[in-house]
Formats: sequence, C-alpha cells, structure tokens
Amino acid sequence: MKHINIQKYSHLKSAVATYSIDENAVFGQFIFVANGAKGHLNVRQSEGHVVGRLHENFPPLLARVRKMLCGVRGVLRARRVAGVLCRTAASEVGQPLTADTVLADKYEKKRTQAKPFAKELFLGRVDYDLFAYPEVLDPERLQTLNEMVAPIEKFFNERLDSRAIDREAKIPPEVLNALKEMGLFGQQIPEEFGGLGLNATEFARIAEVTALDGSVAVTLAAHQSIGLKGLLICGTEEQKRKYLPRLATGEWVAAFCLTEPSSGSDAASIQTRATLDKDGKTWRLNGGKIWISNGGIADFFTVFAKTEQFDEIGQKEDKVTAFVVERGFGGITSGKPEDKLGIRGSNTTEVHFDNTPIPMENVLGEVGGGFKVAMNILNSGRFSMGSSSAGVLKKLIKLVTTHATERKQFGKQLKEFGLIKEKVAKLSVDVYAMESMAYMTAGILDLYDNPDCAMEAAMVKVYSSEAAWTGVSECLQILGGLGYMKDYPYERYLRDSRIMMIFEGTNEIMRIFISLLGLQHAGAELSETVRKARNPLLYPGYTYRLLRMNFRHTMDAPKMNLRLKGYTHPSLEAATNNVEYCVLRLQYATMIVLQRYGKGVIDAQLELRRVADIAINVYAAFASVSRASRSYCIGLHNAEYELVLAQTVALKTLALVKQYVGELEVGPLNGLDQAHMDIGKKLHQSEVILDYAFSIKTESISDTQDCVSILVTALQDLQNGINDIIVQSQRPAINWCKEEIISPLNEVPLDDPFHDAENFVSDETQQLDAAGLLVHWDDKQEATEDPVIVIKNIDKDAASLEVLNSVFDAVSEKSWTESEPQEPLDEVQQFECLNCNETFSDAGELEAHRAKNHTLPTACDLCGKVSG
Amino acid sequence: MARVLVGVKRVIDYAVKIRVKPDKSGVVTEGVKHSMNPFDEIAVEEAVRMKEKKLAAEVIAVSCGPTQAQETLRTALAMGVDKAIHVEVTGKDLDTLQPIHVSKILAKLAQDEKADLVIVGKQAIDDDCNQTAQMTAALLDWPQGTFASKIEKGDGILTIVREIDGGLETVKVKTPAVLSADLRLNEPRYATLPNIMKAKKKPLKKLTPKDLGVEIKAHQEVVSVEDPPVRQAGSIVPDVDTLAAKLKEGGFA
Repeated sequence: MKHINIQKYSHLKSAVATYSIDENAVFGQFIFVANGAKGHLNVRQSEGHVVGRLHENFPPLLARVRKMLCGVRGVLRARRVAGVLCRTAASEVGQPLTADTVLADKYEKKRTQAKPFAKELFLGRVDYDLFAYPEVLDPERLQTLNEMVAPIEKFFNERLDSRAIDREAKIPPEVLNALKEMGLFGQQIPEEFGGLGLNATEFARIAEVTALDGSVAVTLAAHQSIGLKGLLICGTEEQKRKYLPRLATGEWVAAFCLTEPSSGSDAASIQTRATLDKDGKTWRLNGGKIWISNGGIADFFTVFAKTEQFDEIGQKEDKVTAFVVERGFGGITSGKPEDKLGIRGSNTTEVHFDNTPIPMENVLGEVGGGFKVAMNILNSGRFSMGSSSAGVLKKLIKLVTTHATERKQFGKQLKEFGLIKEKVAKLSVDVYAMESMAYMTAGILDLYDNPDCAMEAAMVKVYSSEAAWTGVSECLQILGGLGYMKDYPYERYLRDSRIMMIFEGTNEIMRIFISLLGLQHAGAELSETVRKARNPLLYPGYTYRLLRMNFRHTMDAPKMNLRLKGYTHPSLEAATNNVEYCVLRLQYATMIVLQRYGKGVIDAQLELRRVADIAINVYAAFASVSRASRSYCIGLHNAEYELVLAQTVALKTLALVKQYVGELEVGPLNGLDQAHMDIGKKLHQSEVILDYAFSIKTESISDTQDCVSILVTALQDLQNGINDIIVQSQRPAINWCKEEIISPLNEVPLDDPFHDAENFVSDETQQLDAAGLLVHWDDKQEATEDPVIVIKNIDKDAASLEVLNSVFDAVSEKSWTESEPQEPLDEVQQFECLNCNETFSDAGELEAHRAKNHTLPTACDLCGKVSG
Repeated sequence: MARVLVGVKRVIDYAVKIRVKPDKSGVVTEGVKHSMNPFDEIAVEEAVRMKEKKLAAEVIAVSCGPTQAQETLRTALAMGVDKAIHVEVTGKDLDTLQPIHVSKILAKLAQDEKADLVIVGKQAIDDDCNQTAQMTAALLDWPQGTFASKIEKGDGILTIVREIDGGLETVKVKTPAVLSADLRLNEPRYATLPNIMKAKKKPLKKLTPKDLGVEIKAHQEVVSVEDPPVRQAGSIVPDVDTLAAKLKEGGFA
C-alpha cells in the first residue's frame, strides 16, 4: 500500500491513497482527512467513465463531492474530481505520508453499523461499505500479530505430538503449561486484566495456528470462546476484576455448562435448577450437565440453570439464569473423561452440581436473562471456526500437494491427473471462501460498535465446518490407502473436524436459525410490501413494478439494479455481477417462502434449509469478491491468483443458487421432498424395513383384514404384558396367517435356532426368530370354528417388541394399501394441521379447521378489504 | 555486571525449501518465510539466561540487514533482550554484505555500548560462513571462545566447553571476550505473547553502517549459485563380494 499526500487538492487537507495502475484503468481507494472528518473513497476510472463512492459521513463540503460521485457514471464533474485524485495519486508515488495519526484513528475508532449486513441480503440489499474489505489492523498491529503467530506456529510444529495426544486421549500437563505461559489462555481478555486484548481479527488469525491440533484448539476455545466469554460480554466490573486475571494466565481454566441429557439443541429446556436460599443471599444449584469441554480441569464454570420467577401478572414461571461458579464453592463433581471419536485429547466430562452454594453477586447478567446470555456467548464464539478450519486445510493442502508431486502412478505424477487437480482446486477455493468470510465477520465485529453479527457468524460456522469435513476427507482420498493409516495425520484430522458440524449449535439448527432470522428481518419490512401488493388498486404504480419484478424473476432475469460492479476492481466485473444476481435471487427466494407459508414457514424445514444455503453461499461469494478486489487493488503478492479463486467462489454460488431457487419455485410438491418426507415418516414408525416383497395372495379383502385384526390384537396383548397370547378369529384370515407366517415356523424345530434354511420360508419368521420370539401354531384348535394363534415365549424386551411391531406394521400396511387404497388406515394421522398439530380423520375436516383458525388474511380483489 | 551484545541475523526459515533464482545470482527470498538464525537464537537465549541469573546487567541485540531485520530484533526483544540496534543495510550494500563488514559493525558497537561480552551464533544457516565471531575478536583484540556448548562465568573469567572434532575442549578466557554458540549450548525458549506485546515498548535504535564508520566494500564476487546435484539412482548388488568389487572399481577401497 502506498500512502501519498495530496494537499494540493483544495478541499482535501490530506489524503492517503492506495491504488494500482494499469494501461487503461486507474483504481484507487483513498482515505481522506478533510475539515476534520475522515473517510475513504473508492474510485475507478476506466474506459471513459468514473465510478466512485465516499464512505462515512462528511461535513457539507465533502458531502457535495460525495453527491457528485455517488453512483454517477460518465458525469463530467465526477470524472474530473476522480481524475484529479487518481492522477495525483499516480504522480506522487512514494511520497511519505504526513498524517500517520490519521491511520491510527481510522483503525481505532469504531463506527456504528447502519444496517446488519447478512440480514439485509434477504431484502436484496448490500452494504456497499463492505466492498472495501475490512482492514482492521494498522501496520504496527499487523506486524505484532505476525510476530505472535511465528512462535506459536513453531511451538505447534516442534513440541506438540498430536498423535500421542490423540492416542493417550490427554494433553500432557507440560504442554498445557507451555500454552498457558505463551499467553494463549487470555487472548481476548483486555490488557488491564492481564490478557492480550486481542480483537476478533487477531483472535481468528491465532486460531488458524492453534487449530493445528484439534484437542488443543477445543480446549482453548472451550476456555475463552465460550467458557469465559459470558464474563467478558456481561460480567460486572467486580466479577471481571475477580476472575479475569486468573483466567488470563490459565491458572484457572473455564468451562461452559449448558447441555444436559435431555436438553441439547433445545437449550431452553434445561432441568438444572437454582433456588434461592431462605436468607435470600445464596443460590443453591442442583443438576447435571453433560459433554462439558474442560469439565474435568476447569475451576471456573459458566452455568445455566432454571430459576423461578414471577412475571408481570404475578404468575410463577421458570426462566434460565446464568451463574459464575467456582469449583471451590463445593458440591461439584466431574465424571470421567468421555471416550470420543475425535478431539480426543480435549477433556470432556459430565459435571454435577449438588446443592452448590452460589453467592448472589455471581449471577451473570440478569436473573432470568440467562437464555439471552447463552445465545450471545454462542453467537459470538462461532466466527473463529472459519479461520481454524482454514488453518487445518491449508496445512493439509501443503501436505497433499507435496504427495501429489512425489507420488507417481502409470508413469505420471499424481498432480497431472485431472481428478486430483480438481480436488486440490476445490480445496483451495473453499479455503479462500472460508477465510474471506471469517475475516470479514471478524472485521465487522471489530469495526462496528455492537454489531449485529450473529447471522454472519452462524454462516461462517456452517460453511466452514462442512467444507472442512469434506476437504479433509478429500485430502485423505488423495493419499489413498496411506491416508487411512494412523501413521499419517489425515484420519485424525478427519475425526477431529467432525465435531465442528455438531457443537456450538448443530448445523441443522444453524441453518434454521439463519433462515428464520433472515425471514423475520425481511418479513418485518415486507409486511408493508405485502399490504400494498394486496391492495393493487390503491397502489397501481407499485403493483405494476412488483408484477414486473416478479415476472423478471420468474423468467430468471432479475433486474440488476444494485450496480455492484462499480465497487470492485474491473477485472472482477463478471464475479461481481454474479454476486448481484445471487443477492437478488435470495430476495426472491425470501419472497417465495414468505408468500407460500406465511407464519407456517417455521415448519417448512426443507425450504428453510434451501434459503439458508443460498444466503450462506451468497455471503461466501460476497466476502471472497470483496477480498480479492482489495488484494488486486493494492497489489498483493498472489493477487491474480486470488482473482481466480474469488471468481470460482462466485461461479459455484451461482450454480447452487440457480438450483435451489429452481427447487423453491416448484415448492414442496417437488417429488424428492415429498418422497423424503414419506420415507422418513415410515422409517420412524418401524425401524426395520422389510425387504421381503410381501407376495401374499389375498383371496379376498376380508382375509387380510381379519389377519391384521388378529395380529393387531396380538400385539396389543403383548404390549399389555400378556406373555402367551391366544388370539381367536375367523377362518379365512387364519388360513392366511397359517400359510404365511405360522406354518413355516411349525416346520422348524422350536428348540433349534439353527434350523434348516430350506424350511425357512418367510422373512417375517426370520425376523421373529431372530428376535427370540417363537411363534407357535396351536393345531388342536383348528377343528373348532375359531382357531387360535399362540405366540409363546415372548421376551418383553424393547428390541423384540419392536421387531414384532415392525412385522405387524408391515402386514397392516400392506393389507390396507392393497385393499382400499382410497382410504388408507395408516393415513389417518396424515391429516395433521401444520400450525397446531391437531389431527383430523379426513381432509375435509382439516380444511375446515384450517379455514377457521389459520387462514392468512386475504384481500378482496375488487375492494381491497382484508378479510379472514 | 556484564553488558552483553548479541548478534542476530535474519535468514530464510530452516523449514523452507530453498529455490535458486533462474539467473543463478542467488536464491529466491521474495515472499519466503524468514526467521532468526537458529544459532543466533541460542546466543540470545544464553545472554538472556545470564541476565536472569544476574550475571549480566543488560543484553543488547544487533542485526544488520534490511528493514525486515527489525522483525528479527523484535523476536529477540520478546525473548528477553533489553534493547535492540538495527544497522540498516539495503539494496546493493545488502548483496555485498560479508562477515567482515558485520564484524566491523559489531566491533564498533561493542566499544560504543561498552559491552563486556559479544555472543553470536557459530554460523548462519544461509551462507554458513562461520567467520563473524573470529573476526570480531580479532578486530577488538579480545579473546574468543567459539563453538561453545557450555559457558560458566567466574570472576572476570569465563570457562567455556567447546565441541571440537573427537571430543570436548575446555578453555578459560578473560572478559571482555567474543563467544559463538554451538547447537547444544541450550534450548531456546519460545517468545510468549505477553512478552511480544511488551517488546513493542522496548527501545530499538536505528543506525547505518556509515554512522559507525564502516564502508561496505565488495571483497569477493558471487559467480554462480546452483542447486545441489540431483542424487543419481543407485543400484542393488546381489552380494557382498560384488559390492566389494564395485567399491574397488570406484576407488573407494
């Protein structure tokens, strides 16, 4: 970056410019000081037109310049102003900057965020500010950061035996101590409390390195990303002074206690309870938490528990409250470390609280405000997952590219094969997107005061955890058999990376979170739109525009009215256009689901997933393009390569958005979704799918129906605890039963489980037999009118019941669908209201119910009056 | 108590795969990771330990090189050095900079800073010259203890164990003296993050060779830098006799 002084230009006292010049284009990012105000301006002069935009608020004089430049194309004055700036920049190359302080100010002062970035995307709006990729660190801080990274990297490469940590499932104490000494336990704790006071960007950069060992990374993250984060976010000054210094040195390790056996993703349903003692000064904590990272080594716990509150009208209700708990309070026991798939060295245990006394002043935040505290902690802890996954993948890419160069097959190096090239390329593209997203998110956190950034962080989490999982898996694949061996690190990284899709909010929950948050944000604003759209006669112009917009969208040709391409370097024009298209399509997708489901959208999870994926990928593309533009403008070492990477991210996003918007347009009727839902439903009814093609020859409907009724009664008896069941029924059904189920078993000696395979006719019998249920046909009864089935020796354990259940299910399913397809018995439950879960026996009733209770207000086409 | 001057050099990181420039004028340094010469790290560690044992009053690190050499100095400061001096050598001078020039600079600084002890790494891993300590001692006319694997400080006397071919040699030198650190002298520490932050506040003085009266003049010319020859494929011999015959043939036995 070159800094220049352009005092010559009258209304600018001084300015810093970064620029790159090629033959026919001048592109610059200027940082100004004028009349005491600061800001920056992106200017591009190319092929006879100028596009520029000033960021930040300026006093009147510069506001005029801003007016001249904002979105103006080919306007003479703007061209002149920008031209002067650019020429000055070009002519004064290398002159020293007079105002170093300007830079310092720029980096230290936090701005207020005008609008949340990612949420606005759902409305088809883009924060142009972020096209100037956040530059958070001034040159000095950047250098310090690099100095910090070097010894950590060295330590991780030289002193850490990750394989041993994985094998022994323990981080050696001397390693933990060394990590503490290095200061890694107090990264984001302010300097005044003995920490390093790193901002989000610096924290993310260091996470890239610490992630090289999954166990260490999780231990560190559990300590400071979640464990003590609550204290940082909403601790009182006293709490901070008391605990932070000890936590910063690692003398105390922190843990975050939320999850319970019955409460995973549904965090509000926790059972641990805190009750206020009679003296009103001490809380008593009781309950058990599971899967607590650092649970066995921590001395400091952020614990969430239910407390009894009185609401406004004086009724008792349970609310979640957060507490800061020291191990020394007593009554705290930790279980033995869990034996895990990956991150084996991190200490994960149960933590039990038995009447643990907590003083009043250790409530974190407000009493009853704990759920918000928990969500704030989790939301702010996620962003660094992007950079840590990128760190791991970058290391593996280095390893696999070396392997691909050295290894030869069929007389060629692996790297010459197309499929290997493709894998490595996809990896690099993913890493670029991950890094761009992670550092943009960190940048937003650092640049703005109290930014609304939860959605961005969730996006980073979903994208990077999945890209890491597939990426590591692909790296392993490039090594082939070698990758599968424990002598190589790939399998360990694969196991370690798996957790990222699960912890700190599963990716499923994150997707629903992202899309619901986005839809909520959009919905608030769109209600106006919807109101207008429903009163077309009152707003003819608006209706016309809306119709035209929708029409263009249905033709897959949205009007590109965001004019994004002026904000990035000209060589990224195509990619920027792709981003713009995708943003507009996200808006369209938002409108589709809102219009289709209204408030019921909360249950349309498959659609929500698509919306979330579109949004996540749009963010990835936006961040990548913005970053590449910056790199190219300031002439970074590999800038041209970055352009290609960013263009590829944009292309990938484009393809995905096209696919998902297409599917959303079709809606839930799209065959695959319906099929998935049906199959999913069946699977939950009976865990075992019978592969037997159920070739029963039912002579008459009544035969099978009778048979079913026998079996169903049998099952009921079984469930009621009757061991030997005798079922009586009419002859035709019994015949079928005898032929299909009972007879084959009769031919099998009852006491010989390893019977002759020939005699073993039906799969049902196999199932029953396997489950230890021996079915016996009582022959003596055959002569009478009502023969009997006797099912003997029934083992009442759950597994056997389930197998029997499945057999009966299959029988009933088959018979009913065969006999009366128009009125399937099994389908009774399908008439279920999506809004209130009430069930109805036929579709008509459901419709009536919905019409009565859940109809969205619709407007009359003629008068515009809204009715139920 | 002694004042210790430590020389540190910024070199291409030991883990980097070295690439020779196409025109054979040198190796590629642009965009390549650099770090402190590992032997210099040992020298810094030794000096810092002396300070921690109250054997030294102040430790000063010196580096000659481009602006980025300051990063190396910051590392030294983070490891516990008290102040740093950067002798800026850039452009053409950097290409001609040789151990003799560095020795002159170190000798001058040792006098200016009233140092009692100069410690450097035994050699740098980039040019492997192994000359600086010896020449500095000569210029100052101080005793020298090179390849030290153990240093013990007595009153005005240093006992140094040197690693030499075939064993260890113990020498005693009077201070002031010049020492060079060998691999087994100690195990350098990792700079901790809090110390890196603190290091930012420590003084870093900038000088040029001119300020010290040292002229960087070329005494030699690099004709060509080449990759080491690629190892030829070997062959497997069926038995010992053939091996012996082959060795004889090659003149090895």
